[in-house]
Amino acid sequence: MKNKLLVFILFIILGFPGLLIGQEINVSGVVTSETGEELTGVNVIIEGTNRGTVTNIDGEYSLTVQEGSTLVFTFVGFLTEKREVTGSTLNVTLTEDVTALEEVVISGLASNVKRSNLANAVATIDNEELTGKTVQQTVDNAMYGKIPGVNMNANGGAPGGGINVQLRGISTLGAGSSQPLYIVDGVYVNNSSFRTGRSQVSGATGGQSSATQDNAANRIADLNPEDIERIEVLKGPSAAAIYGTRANAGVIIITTKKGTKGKPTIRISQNVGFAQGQNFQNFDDWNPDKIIAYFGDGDAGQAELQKYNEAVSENRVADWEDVIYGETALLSKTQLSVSGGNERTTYFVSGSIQNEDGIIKNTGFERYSIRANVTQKLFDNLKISIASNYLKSESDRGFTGNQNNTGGSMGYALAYTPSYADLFPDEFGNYPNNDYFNDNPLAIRDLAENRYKTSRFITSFDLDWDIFQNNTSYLSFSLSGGIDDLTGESLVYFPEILQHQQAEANPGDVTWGNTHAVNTNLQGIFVFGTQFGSISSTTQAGVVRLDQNADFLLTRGRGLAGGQNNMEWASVVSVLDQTRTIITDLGWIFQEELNWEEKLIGTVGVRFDKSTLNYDQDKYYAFPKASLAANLHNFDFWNSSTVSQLKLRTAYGETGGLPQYENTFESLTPQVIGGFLGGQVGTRGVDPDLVPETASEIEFGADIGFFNNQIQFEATYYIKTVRDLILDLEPAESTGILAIATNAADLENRGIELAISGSPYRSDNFEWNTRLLWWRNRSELTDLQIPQQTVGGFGPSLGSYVYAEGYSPTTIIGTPSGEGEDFPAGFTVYGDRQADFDMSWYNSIVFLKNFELSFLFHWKKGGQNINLSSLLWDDGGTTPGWDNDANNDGTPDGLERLLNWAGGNTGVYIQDSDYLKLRELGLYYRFPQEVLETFANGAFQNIKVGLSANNILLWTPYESYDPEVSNFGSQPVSSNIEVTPYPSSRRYFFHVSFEF
Amino acid sequence: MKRIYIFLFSILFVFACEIDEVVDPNNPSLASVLDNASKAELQVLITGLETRSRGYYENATEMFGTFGREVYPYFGSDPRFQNEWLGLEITETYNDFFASGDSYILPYLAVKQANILIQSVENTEALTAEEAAGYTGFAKTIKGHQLLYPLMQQYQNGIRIDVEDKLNPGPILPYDEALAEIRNILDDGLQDLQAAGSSFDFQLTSGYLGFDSPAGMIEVNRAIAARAALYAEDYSGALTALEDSFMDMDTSFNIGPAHVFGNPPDVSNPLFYPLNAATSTILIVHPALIEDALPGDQRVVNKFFQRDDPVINNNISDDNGDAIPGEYQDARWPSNTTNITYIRNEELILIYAEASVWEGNTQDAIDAINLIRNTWGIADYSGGTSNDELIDEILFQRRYSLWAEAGHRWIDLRRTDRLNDTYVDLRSGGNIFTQVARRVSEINWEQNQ
Repeated sequence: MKNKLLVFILFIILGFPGLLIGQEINVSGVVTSETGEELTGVNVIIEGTNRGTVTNIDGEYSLTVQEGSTLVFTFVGFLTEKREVTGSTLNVTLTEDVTALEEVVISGLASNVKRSNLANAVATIDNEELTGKTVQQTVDNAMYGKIPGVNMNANGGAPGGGINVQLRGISTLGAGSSQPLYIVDGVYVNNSSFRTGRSQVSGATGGQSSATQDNAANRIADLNPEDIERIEVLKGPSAAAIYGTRANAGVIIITTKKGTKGKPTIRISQNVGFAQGQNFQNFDDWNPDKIIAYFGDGDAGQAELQKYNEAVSENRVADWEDVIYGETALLSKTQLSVSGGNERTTYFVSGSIQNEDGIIKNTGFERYSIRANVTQKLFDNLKISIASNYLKSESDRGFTGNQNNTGGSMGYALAYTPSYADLFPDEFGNYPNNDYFNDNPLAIRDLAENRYKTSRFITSFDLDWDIFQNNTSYLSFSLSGGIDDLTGESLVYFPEILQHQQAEANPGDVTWGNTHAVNTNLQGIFVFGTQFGSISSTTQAGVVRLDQNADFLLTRGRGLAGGQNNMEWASVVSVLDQTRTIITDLGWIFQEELNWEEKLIGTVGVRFDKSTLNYDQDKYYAFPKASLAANLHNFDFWNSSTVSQLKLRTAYGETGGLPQYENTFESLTPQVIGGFLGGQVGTRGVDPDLVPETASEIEFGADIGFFNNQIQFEATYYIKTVRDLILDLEPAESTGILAIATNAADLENRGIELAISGSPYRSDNFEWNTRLLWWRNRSELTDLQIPQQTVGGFGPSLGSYVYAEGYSPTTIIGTPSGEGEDFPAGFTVYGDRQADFDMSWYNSIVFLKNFELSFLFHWKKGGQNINLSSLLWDDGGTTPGWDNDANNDGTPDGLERLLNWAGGNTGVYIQDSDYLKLRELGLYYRFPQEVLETFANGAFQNIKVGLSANNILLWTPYESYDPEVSNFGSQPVSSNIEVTPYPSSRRYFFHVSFEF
Repeated sequence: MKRIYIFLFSILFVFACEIDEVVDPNNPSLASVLDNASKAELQVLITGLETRSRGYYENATEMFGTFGREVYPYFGSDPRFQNEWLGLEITETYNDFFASGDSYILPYLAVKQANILIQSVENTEALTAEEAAGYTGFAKTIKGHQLLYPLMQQYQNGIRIDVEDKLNPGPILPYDEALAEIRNILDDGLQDLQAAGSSFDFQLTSGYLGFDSPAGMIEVNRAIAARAALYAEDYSGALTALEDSFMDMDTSFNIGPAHVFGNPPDVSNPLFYPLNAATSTILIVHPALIEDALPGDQRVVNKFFQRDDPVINNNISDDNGDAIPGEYQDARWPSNTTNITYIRNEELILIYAEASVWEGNTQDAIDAINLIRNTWGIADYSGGTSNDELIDEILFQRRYSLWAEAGHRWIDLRRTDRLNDTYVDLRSGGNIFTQVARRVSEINWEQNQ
């Protein structure tokens, strides 16, 4: 293997000697934009070579070229110009590109390709689009509705993130990661959601996957979105194949900002705003009639009436929803950056502080970030870039969501607490017991803590060495790597004075979690470029290694001394979990790209991967890829003036998905009894034939530009098949083995992604850019070699998902049970959490020259949720209109729904989750140049002020706060199950930024 | 230039070279105990069997207890505890019935543990034959006891007994056959224990104090065998088994092997609730037990604690829709670390009484009944002496003596054909389930074969 590669690389290096060298002249000039602004940093390349230069701060360049050769001028955001060298001066004006055809997209581990030559639908989001319009808490949040084929679902509204990101449907049923691989400046960053033990402490362990009810955020939330220059999303295997065994769920490549040559630019921006809970349910009012309807008119009902009358006379009937969720949260973000550089060094340094309160008292999110990105040219042919980032974040998420028998969830408690309950603390701060639930939600809010802190270094380096270069060929070597060193600390604390703690044998409960996770990765890649006549070739080969090491410790103390949460002050201490994780992956890659005059562009490649997560840790698995793009408009026969671009493209690729850590081990688990330590036979068995999941995808598409590409249309159709899906085979439970990870299913996703963008109207005073995206995905299990099974949720009577051949794994089922083909796993089908389609509409309108208005709508059509909040509200009598009686049968509507459900009809609580959201809205004013020149002696280059908002409008038939919800966190399948979550909020901001 | 290439290639290969095989860094592997286990490893498996064998108790007490209306589940967090367990809107359970797994799966985990223990003992050279018989005798005794719970839950659905091969388990046996197999396993265990010498080679927790020798374990084995014989309606077999059990008319009713509980990292007593706890989650004594009790019955004060503030759960209400207040809670546990004796002398005496009725030894039966009655402060039995009347009396005594001890009432009424609304108080509405529907995984595995 290794020897073959070596021979191959040597062959490439030695096989293509340099070609002719002609007569040389010096050419120089100035590059400007249409508005006359000198452009700095424009790439000027001699066509057919890798040789060139970059314009300086005054837009000037100078180059020695062969007479008669062509110079290619490329610059991000502008259309490429090609000019033949006819004399010693060549001034060029670049036209602004409204369709991003010219942007450069990563096509391999060490090479780029122009978007117009790309054979995949790779989506990119630039800084302006990501964070330029409004302030988002987390990176994933900021990508919402901006990429076709990407479905995101927030797990709830709690501060600090927590989002399920699914690229092109379902790629795994639970093996490995269901979340995309995030690569930040070459670092494979940690996006785990770490357990906090919250679900143990709050008792929410009733589900089929208890560990995931911790309501923890995925740790991509630590990244500061403002530092990001651009995001590229490799949605499926056809684009992501070169990432091999970790790329089944797609790859999200994040590049942070770099400095550019020129005098230092200092940018300060300040955002302040507020957030308010949205879509309150307005819980039912309680009155004597309703009290009798709910409690009956026996002793219990009479006692309630008395309590009600007391509350009325004491004037303390409350709207609990407003009391708990009704805070106006303050939001602020301060960002300072300095960037600049000279011929040899460029730098970008930034610092930021983000501080956001939540709409529940004592909740919030804080993040501090410091970054330094430095690029240094060591020699003319050797460049090193270092990107380093320190991040600190803290989120206080409060207690919402599921609980079991503890009261450790405010939302859950509210479902059962009538408006006349006596909950407010007395003057000494003593909270009354809640007569209707296990705890007083106000006490939980004010006294309990659920906090997560991270401290994190993400550092990468990239060494680029141009080993050799002539007019037709070059060889370069790139050595890059990075470290993501994350330390996390969780605290879940219920003080001993809480009602439900007083009902425990050892009141006072604290769980501390400590995580230290280190990812390191290193890759070395050779890139060789050359010309075969009119075909240019780029060849790359190299090796990639990823190491993941983590130590996780979760300890719990009960029986706490008053007000203390230090573990030493607990009378009973136990270790809930200690897990050490050791994982290593190793991959070899090879890729060949051929480009025939930008008419036909073809790529083939393969990656060989092995991983310690596999059952056979030494075996290499191959992931091939191939693609072809045809730019018909570049052929000579093309002479349409209307259709300025017509590209047909197709791509094929394969990626892998690894088994979960520990699924290949058969082990004993410890348990103490009466002072002895027992070893219990684990409930997991091992399948010796287990191999990684493999996703293969074929994608077809067309990119069509009209009117000099002022209007751009993109269409993509894909078929993504995942074979050897790893599923837990459930043997007969009587064998004592409850799960064996095995390759048991094939899944197919088919989808369409459409995008139309352009500027329908442009004038001096008014410019309208718009983009409409539409996408849909259908999933189906095409083969299932193990028995049909229900998955996720709290069992069929409360709604769960199903794995059955011919059905999508996102199919929602419930009681009553039945027999036959229409009853997968023996239950009734009620819906599908997958949308019929998604659509988003983005607009940016520049008017009166300096004003910009932008907005982003997102419409999700179709799809269902399992709404267990509704069930709890009906059970507790809090649903709006609970005691209405629509059919006049004497049974209140709320009770009737509950009885209908209890009688074996889960469908009552499975609800449509369509929505239309105005996700982003922004209005900015940029001070005109003439004002800046006179203001403060022209100290400022740029001043911008604005107002923005996100999630301000929501239309949905769904009967709760937000149809985007997941009690179980980021899950491949079982999201969209709701149990009294943290409500989502509308956010409003005022912005001001200065550049000088 | 060449040197630089060589240097670069060596960098490439050095870092990429070898990867160490990763073995579970967190736990010992199963394979290590299956192949020539040491005595220390076997001890770990023995203790593991004790931990696994206490899992069923909570669910059997709460769910079977609710089915037989010994208790009410005032568990406020999930209305299914009331709606489904009490059968308020359903007449039968369904596959994978709500919160029923723990009295099915957990005993089978103990069975798995016992089977692995037996396999390890067979594959080790660390033990003499006598020592080995002690291990396997204990393992089989526990296995027999554990299998009773899935069988009681599934009843006529039957259960699997041969579950050693995870991918190729034996058939689901009908109730009678499965019960016979369980009795065989217990008898095998007895044989092993008889060949195990005078002491065990391993240690048990304090729950087996007095029973932690082959002779002591034989008494436990026979006690369980007596219960199984009673269920099998083999009354002479029950009486025979009792002879070698720890049944003793002259000593404490509470003698017997126990499940041990403790503070973390141990597991706490799942039936313990602090008295008067202000909570909406608590197991409540069915009010009929208070109302039906004979005057002076000490068991009422010993076991039932009257709360200052009753608990309310709106799903537990009478015909008029008025909530039934939860007035009494379990008073048996001084703390959450109190052990639970899982088969007691008192039960054995009651088995003796019942078997005696059927064997025609009426006076023995009445004597045993009176021993129970007098001990708890009630006068001698003065009712009729027909078999039916005596069985009624014994069931009445069992209802109080064995209240909330892993579901006796429901099982007793069912096996004596009394599982109807004469014996089951349905003041809160609902239906009486005879058994729990088969688990989905078992159905799937049947279809898969």
